[in-house]
Amino acid sequence: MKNSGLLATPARLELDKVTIAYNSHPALEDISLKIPHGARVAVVGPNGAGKSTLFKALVGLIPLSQGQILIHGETLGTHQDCVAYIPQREDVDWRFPVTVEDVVMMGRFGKFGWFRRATARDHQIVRQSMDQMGILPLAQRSIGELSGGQQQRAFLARALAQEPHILLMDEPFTGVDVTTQEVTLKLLEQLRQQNVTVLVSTHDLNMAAQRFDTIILLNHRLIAFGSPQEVFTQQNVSAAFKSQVMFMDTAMIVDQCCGTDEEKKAEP
Amino acid sequence: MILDWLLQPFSYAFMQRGLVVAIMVGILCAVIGCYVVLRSMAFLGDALAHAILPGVAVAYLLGGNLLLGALAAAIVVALGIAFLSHDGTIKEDTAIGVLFAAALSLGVALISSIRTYAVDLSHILFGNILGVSPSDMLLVIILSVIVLAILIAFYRPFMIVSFDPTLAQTLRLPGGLLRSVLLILLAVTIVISMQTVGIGLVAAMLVTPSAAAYLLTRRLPAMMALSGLFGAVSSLAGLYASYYLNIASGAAIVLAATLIFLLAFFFSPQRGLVWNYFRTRSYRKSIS
Repeated sequence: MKNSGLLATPARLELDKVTIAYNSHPALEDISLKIPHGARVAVVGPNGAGKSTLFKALVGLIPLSQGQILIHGETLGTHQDCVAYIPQREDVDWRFPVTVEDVVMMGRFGKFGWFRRATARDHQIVRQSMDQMGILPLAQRSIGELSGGQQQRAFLARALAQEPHILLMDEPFTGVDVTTQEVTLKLLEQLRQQNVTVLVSTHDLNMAAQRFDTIILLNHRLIAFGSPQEVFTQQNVSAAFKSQVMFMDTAMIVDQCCGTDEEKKAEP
Repeated sequence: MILDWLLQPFSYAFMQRGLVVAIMVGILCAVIGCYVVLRSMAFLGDALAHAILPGVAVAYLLGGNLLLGALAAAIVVALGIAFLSHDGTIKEDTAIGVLFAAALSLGVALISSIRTYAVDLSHILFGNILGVSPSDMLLVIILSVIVLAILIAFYRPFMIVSFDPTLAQTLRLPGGLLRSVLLILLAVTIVISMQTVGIGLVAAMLVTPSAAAYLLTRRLPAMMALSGLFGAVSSLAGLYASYYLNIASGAAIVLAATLIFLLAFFFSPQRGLVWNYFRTRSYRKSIS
């Protein structure tokens, strides 16, 4: 399907009773929710709650055991190029001989396909995306020479060049420099104006509450879904984080440094 | 004088054919070798090279075309490796190890049943560049052009699938199909290399020029072009060395490629050991 960046119809992302199991061990169970188009969603939950699994399912990297995922009311796979995903660092071969510009141009592949070459418009979008992420001066550098934050911005620029309707970011705020965090947050703001739905998984509950309008609280099951005020109640948070959370008067402290070993194993 | 020296070997028709085939195969191996290096497929390449032996033997016994027999065997083994390791019960390199030793043994067993096997086996193992017939040469040129054309036409999908399989999946690129196509192209390359460097040394022609090019470039198209150049130069230099020093041509070609790699390894402007040493030394001087 070809599509321009902006959509006239109020499209949405729907999960209908989605269950995903690895070797009959369920990572996500019976998740149903509807996300309106252009929403900014933070996905939170303890380690091993199934956040990465959810993202991988949304881009079609993992088959569903049950249920279905609908984008714009159609099942996953109908749309060629409307979901962009920022992969985790381990999935990428950093010694590969590609420049930053090459990496960003890969995002255009879905638009120009197997037999066409990049057009002037593709080049223009690639330059714009790099400029927006503040890495235009690094365009001709090898991807492996960059710092971790710069690499992440290169992948964000690639996601922008894909002109997605839905953008998935797996822990974009973990282990990156302050510039990258700020550029990423600014990007969220811009994407909202472009009506792009953004799902971000994060450990930072404060940031989730302050910068996002919708929260998905997960722990294998959907614990809560809604505005930060609705989701971050004492009851919901303790249901998700169990013994990792402590309440002192009005404050809530969540120890997320280390999940239990069993929880870690649950997430591949 | 020098021109005489350069031209003299190629006054013979069989040397001319040898030259054409060696350069063609040198370029082809070096270009597809970039993916072998970047995707860590060196062991697979070596295994496929040895796995063609039973195919050659069967074709010889049946009086068929040796190249076709070799190609069939390589594809059967490539599919066998994919089958044994597809659900992760055993790892891919284990599957390669099992199948390649089995295929090699089967090949040796079959060939040892042929009376004149000693001569044939050494040609298969180390190549016979001076025995290239005109029809062989034509086949090598046609197959090389086809393989190179596919690699160039599908350069972007191959690059995306090698660099970032997750993106490839998101873009709905058929990753499994691309991988199978690459394996078949690799099998074809190895089979047509049989005559120049032989199955014993083809892995070197796949890996060495591309590894040298990797050290000197930062983009895949440049790496492939430079690697192809190194492959061609190695083949040419190897043939001269073979003619004037009277050494086996396949070995001479591989040694020439190795020399290029060592020069790149020590003198590469970005990653070479020698420049790094001087850089560190001048830095130390500047702070002391």
